[in-house]
Amino acid sequence: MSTRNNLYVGRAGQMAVMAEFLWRGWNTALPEVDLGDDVFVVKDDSGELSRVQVKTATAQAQKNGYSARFSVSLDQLNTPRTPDLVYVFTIRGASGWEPFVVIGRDVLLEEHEARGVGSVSQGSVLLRFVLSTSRLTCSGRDFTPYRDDWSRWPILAH
Amino acid sequence: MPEIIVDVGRQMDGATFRLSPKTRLMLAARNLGKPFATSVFVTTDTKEAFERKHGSMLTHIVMMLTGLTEDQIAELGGFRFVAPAEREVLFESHAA
Repeated sequence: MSTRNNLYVGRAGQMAVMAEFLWRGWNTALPEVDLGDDVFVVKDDSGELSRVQVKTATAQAQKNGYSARFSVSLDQLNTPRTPDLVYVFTIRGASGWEPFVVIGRDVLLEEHEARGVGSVSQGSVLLRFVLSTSRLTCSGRDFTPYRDDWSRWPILAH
Repeated sequence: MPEIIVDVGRQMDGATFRLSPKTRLMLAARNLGKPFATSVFVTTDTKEAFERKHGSMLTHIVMMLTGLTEDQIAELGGFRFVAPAEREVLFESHAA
């Protein structure tokens, strides 16, 4: 896939995630200066802020499912911040977006450091998600609970 | 070598402190401590004001993050504060 195509795919994933937040009643903003956060998510009435990093990949068809590869900066994954970062992994399937995979930085770091999830290459952690018969795994670990886990952002009525 | 490692994320107005995943698992495996917080953010102003009156804040941060007493922390060899992104050891205590 060309670099330019990657830009289009990445932006499409970002927009899809922003659309989900807006549908849930949470406002979104794009940082003017890119310091690693893709989307700021804001609860309008309180100013509560979340930092979201969106990663997008195209599904590769497999028997009974698909796989998708992602790369996450090791420095970003290692560094705690306030508010802490949440990753949203978006996967474009043959007929539309697959369920988003929502996982906090701290949880993903623990999966990587303590459970051996992903592999390190050139300052990044490479993750391969595999969906097979409705079960999502990464390096053999069950990531199904993170599928569409929007519990941090309950639907707000306006 | 200290068994307690605190990851530090430096921000414009302060820093976020959090136990490293391996430290959390080590404490859980030994059923040690009962953390008061999973992460602590301290502004630069607050840290400086505290330390002018009371000395270093770092032990207090470790106590909050682990729920351990000073003696228990010393038994584990003290602690180390690291900036993971820079691979830099910011502070290392020396257990008595």
